[in-house]
Amino acid sequence: MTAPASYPGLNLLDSDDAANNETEVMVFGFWVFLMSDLVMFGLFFATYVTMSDNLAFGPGPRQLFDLASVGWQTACLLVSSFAMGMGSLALKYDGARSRQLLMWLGVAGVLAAAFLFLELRDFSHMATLGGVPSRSGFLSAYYGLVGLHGVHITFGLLWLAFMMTKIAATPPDHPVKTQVLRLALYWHFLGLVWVGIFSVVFLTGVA
Amino acid sequence: MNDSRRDLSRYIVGLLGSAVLTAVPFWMVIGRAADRSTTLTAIALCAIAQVVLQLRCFLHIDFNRKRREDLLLILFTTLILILLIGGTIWIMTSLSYRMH
Repeated sequence: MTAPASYPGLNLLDSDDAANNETEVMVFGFWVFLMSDLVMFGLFFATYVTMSDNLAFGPGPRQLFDLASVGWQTACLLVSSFAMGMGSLALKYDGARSRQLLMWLGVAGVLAAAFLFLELRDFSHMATLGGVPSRSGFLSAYYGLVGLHGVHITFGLLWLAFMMTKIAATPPDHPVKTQVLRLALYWHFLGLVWVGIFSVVFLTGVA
Repeated sequence: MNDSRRDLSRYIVGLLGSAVLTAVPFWMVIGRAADRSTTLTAIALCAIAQVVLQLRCFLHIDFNRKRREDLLLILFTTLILILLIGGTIWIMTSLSYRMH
């Protein structure tokens, strides 16, 4: 039986109590940030739901949304989240060997970049159909909510690239390890928010 | 089963479960498999199930901890979100109803 986990998220196998305590504080602080971020997403969701019928005679969800593309984006993000989990496990069990960790972080990054590419392609396709943010309340709220998530993914990719160069330069020490844990939490969190977006915006919009 | 195998299987369960819970609502919407209200209910149920599954398998939130601040934090945020989103939708729907 494993020892009870001491902080939310995947726990490392550190026997050092001081290091574990420090990780506990850092990871808990990051959870507080994630939850406040979630409240902001909640506001954008509420705005979208109240605005979703205000088409102002412009194009609606059925004309604009491409569910096949959204399905591919969802698959990219889910497998990316899983790859980040595999990276966390490599960090936990493979010790100082960072090749596996780098490989999984790379997979997660490539898939998130593919997600972003598909999302931007959808945006430009929507724009050619007249679906620009200034067209209607529905479209403003749509670009606000989905765009906010896309911006989060973009910053996540920058953070990921930064972590990968750091890990490639030196084997991960304790501060780097806890930073990768927080990056993984951020990644899974964005996957969760996307579940809300594809359910509330895309599927409900087309159903 | 050792720790590393148990952790790995947890992520794999999360991946496969999420894939199923995504495929079902997409299939229902694209294939027009049911009437609108059934489809909307299925979308909501699958989304909630997937969020709980990912919290459990990817974010490792469970009831097996020394301290409970993290779960309290999540539950409190959920309360705030319910007030915020529910309140907004309630007020705005009522306003829109009264104005027409």
